[in-house]
Amino acid sequence: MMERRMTAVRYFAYALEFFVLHVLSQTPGMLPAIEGIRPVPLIAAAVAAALFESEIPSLVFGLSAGLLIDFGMGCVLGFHALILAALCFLISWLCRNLLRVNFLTCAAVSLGVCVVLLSLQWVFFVVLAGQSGAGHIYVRYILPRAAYSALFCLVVYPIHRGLFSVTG
Amino acid sequence: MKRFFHTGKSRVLVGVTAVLLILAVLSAGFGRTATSSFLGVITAPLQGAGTAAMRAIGDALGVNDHTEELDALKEENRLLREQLVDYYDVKRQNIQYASILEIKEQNKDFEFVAAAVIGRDPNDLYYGFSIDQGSLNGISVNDPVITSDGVVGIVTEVYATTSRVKTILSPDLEISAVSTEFRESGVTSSDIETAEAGCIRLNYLTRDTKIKENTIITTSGLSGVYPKGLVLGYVTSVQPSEYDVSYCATVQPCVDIKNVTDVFVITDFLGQGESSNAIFDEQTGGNK
Repeated sequence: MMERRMTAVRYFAYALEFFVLHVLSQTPGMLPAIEGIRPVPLIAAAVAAALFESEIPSLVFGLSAGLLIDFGMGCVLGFHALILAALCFLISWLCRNLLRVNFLTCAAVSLGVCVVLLSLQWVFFVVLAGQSGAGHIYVRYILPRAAYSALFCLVVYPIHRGLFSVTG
Repeated sequence: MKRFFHTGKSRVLVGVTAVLLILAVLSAGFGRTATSSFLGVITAPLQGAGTAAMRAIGDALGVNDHTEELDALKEENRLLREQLVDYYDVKRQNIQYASILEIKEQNKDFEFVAAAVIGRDPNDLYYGFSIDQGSLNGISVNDPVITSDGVVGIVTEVYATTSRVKTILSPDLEISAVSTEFRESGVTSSDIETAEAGCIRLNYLTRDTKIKENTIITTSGLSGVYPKGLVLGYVTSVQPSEYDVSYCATVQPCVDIKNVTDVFVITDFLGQGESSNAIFDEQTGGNK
């Protein structure tokens, strides 16, 4: 009973964290822009949740974070949700079976997921949309944004580890 | 691995994937109204509060061109910070109303809704933003968004309490434009390089174009989307087009699109939604 209550508290904390990060990333001037590049901190938060949770909760958190990104970007609803849900499911499965969960794993996986997700975003919304200067956009905006977004694992990983050690 | 695909977890993954695919297809085909409106209702007040807080901080730091007045008020009311914030809110509203009055006097047929920018998505390369007014305030898709300085963009998505605006820096937006000085017209567009510089391009100028540096470019009103005579910007250079024999001009918008904080949405104007052909038909009774 106590364990369930703690799990519920942890899930509520994750939801709150996602919501706050979404508002932070959308509010002009709240997160500093570097050379016009602003981060998407929700990706690192979803990855950090997937490192500690089992597959189904990870999938749900990936889905939630993805839906918030979809909503913020104003693109097809479900695009980021679908990719992030699948990736979080996979990360959780890997962490249960193959990977050791530590900060380095979190950093590497966050960077990988950011690059994959933002690259797919670039493919679908820049390349396939026929926008000019796709290569320039990828090098000048997408890759730096992926790196900047992955940096947020520095913030979210300790929070998630702390939450998990207290409530897990 | 084979066993994995027979577990309940894998079925959940497949189920969720299927649901999301259906959601994506539905939202692509029929718009994102219900879910997005629901998310907007939840997130808009928080985004609005966050933006207001950032503005208050900006005002307090003298970033928003209120330094002198802020200093004067600081001397008088150092202990009354809450009242100071209220004062600036009222002042900003006054500036908004003054701008409305100014534009309204020039364009008596315009119907406005004043709106504040509450969100800028980090994934948008062309500085699109969300505003705190939606369908409940009479805003519809394709309503022009302006400031007293000129055109900002167009409303592309409308939810109950928020709307999304695509700026003129977006390559998806092409506006029929004209130089009233030289009676030359063209179509504005943008790409990532011009957007980076905060500029747009006026295309399809003839080789003997008279348009030169500092020529003011305004909307022509031909498409029925933008009213005639709204300022788009001024020309900074004229050069041959990269793609054909025509010339193009680089236009610097008069509005600071990357940092705009307050806008007006034109919800109604004379000729809205009527293309030039329709207006022509109306004027001639359909007899060409």
